[in-house]
Amino acid sequence: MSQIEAGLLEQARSGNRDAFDLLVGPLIEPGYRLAFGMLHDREAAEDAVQEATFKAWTRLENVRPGWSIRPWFFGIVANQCRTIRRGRWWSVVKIAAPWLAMPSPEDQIVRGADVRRALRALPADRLLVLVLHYYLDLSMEEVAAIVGAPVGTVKSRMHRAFAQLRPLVDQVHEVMG
Amino acid sequence: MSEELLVSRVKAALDIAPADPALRARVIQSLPLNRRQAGAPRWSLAPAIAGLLTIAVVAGLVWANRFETRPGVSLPQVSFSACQLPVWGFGPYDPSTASLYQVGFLEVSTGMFTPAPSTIASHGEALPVDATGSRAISYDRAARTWVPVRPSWISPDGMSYVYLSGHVVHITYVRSQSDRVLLSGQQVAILIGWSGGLIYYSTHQASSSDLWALDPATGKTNQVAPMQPGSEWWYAAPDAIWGSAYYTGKIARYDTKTHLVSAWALDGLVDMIGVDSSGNAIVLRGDFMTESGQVAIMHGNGSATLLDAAGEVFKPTDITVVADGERTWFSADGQRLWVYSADTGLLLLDQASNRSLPSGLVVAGGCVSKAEMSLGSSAAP
Repeated sequence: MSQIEAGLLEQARSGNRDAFDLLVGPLIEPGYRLAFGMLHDREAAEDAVQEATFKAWTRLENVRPGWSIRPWFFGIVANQCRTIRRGRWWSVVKIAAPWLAMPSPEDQIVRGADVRRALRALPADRLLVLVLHYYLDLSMEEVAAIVGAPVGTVKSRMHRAFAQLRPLVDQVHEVMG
Repeated sequence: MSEELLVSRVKAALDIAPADPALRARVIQSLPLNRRQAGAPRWSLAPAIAGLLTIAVVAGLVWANRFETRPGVSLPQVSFSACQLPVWGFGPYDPSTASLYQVGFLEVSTGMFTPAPSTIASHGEALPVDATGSRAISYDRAARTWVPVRPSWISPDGMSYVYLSGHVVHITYVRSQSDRVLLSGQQVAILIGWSGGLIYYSTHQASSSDLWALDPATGKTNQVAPMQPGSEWWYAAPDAIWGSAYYTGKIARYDTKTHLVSAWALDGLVDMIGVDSSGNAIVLRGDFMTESGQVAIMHGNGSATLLDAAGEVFKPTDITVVADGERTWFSADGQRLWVYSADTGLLLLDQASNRSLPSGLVVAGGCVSKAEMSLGSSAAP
């Protein structure tokens, strides 16, 4: 944690909301992207970030010396997304439902609906590392800090995510020729 | 596919909903000033916030109702996460209303069912029955009330609905519950529903049927498609009326703008089961004999998106289709609910984990918000 971060954290802990805004505010947009990557629903993603920010605001004492704010905050967002995903009672049926005589599969592919369908089928822990590393461009080390697992475990989850994702997306790729 | 290409596709697929630029300010501003007391007392604000929201929504609706005489009402689509889905089914018998039916809202995000108080007129029938012989109850979102007809019989402004009694077409005004005959003297066989301010219906002769348009304002009728053997008109869409030609593997489309009828075919087509919000025909492919079916959305003559590739989801009986903006809801066999959108694919709403639902569940309309739901009926006499 930099000296500036440490100073802002101290002020935020004393109840200075402006300091908290300077500290956590820049993370809200990437936090939303993380939540959208996990939930694929704009409104749910905004709710997740709102709730995570509230938790961050009320639990600043949990930030330990030497910790960086970013992985700590993203960890809260990720937990919030897990909670929301667990609360869902519906499930995806026929992930690979392709097309019989699609007029324009290109449209589907350009819009990425096929990929999002495949992403939704991933277990939360695999989806999380994929989104953090490839969508938010975080290093493996930072991803490991957020998910609370060793780098080796993160790489293993990433590998499994790709192995699961590839056939589903390849299927569409083959249709396209 | 290389990892690089896969990663670029993942990024592109997720880059479709950038954050609202005002999100940061909104989130920060929503934080309580006193963060140390923020945990517990936050709940005490909930009733006040709910009250304010209700007042705001009521005010908005009151303001909106000033324009209720406009020809059609376009209500905003409710997001999936906020969806309260109107459904109906068989509930415990209530002697006070002599009703076997239970209506209510299914919270899609949690699976919780909230029964809604309702007395549904059945027009002298033991059961509300629509022209296809199916029982039908719909939630009229504009009037915020339950009506004993299928959704396509509700007028575009939501303030009235039509129904068929014998061969006579009636119209009922939901606010006053007043009822009058709209059309008699014709052997109306199928009341299809509203499209573009007109009401479409068909009459039969032997195994042939034709298509008529009725202007509810003037009472004038006009035959728009002649008698055709082996055909039937079923569904009203915003710009078309759809029908099917038995045993030919074709469906028929009457274009309400050009007044032309065209025949569309699809390999393995069994029958039509509904339309989506864009007016596309939703059809069933499969085999009645084996009771297996695949649901497809037709985009053109011979082309369709197949929702269920393996054909294990739907059986070709008792499928109710409700269009809801970009989504389409399906209920089948009184046991299962599905929702389809191009973005999410087909999702199954698993009722196995939800014992509180009425049995024989049927979708009764598109999603409404919790605020709308709590406002109750605006259709009281």
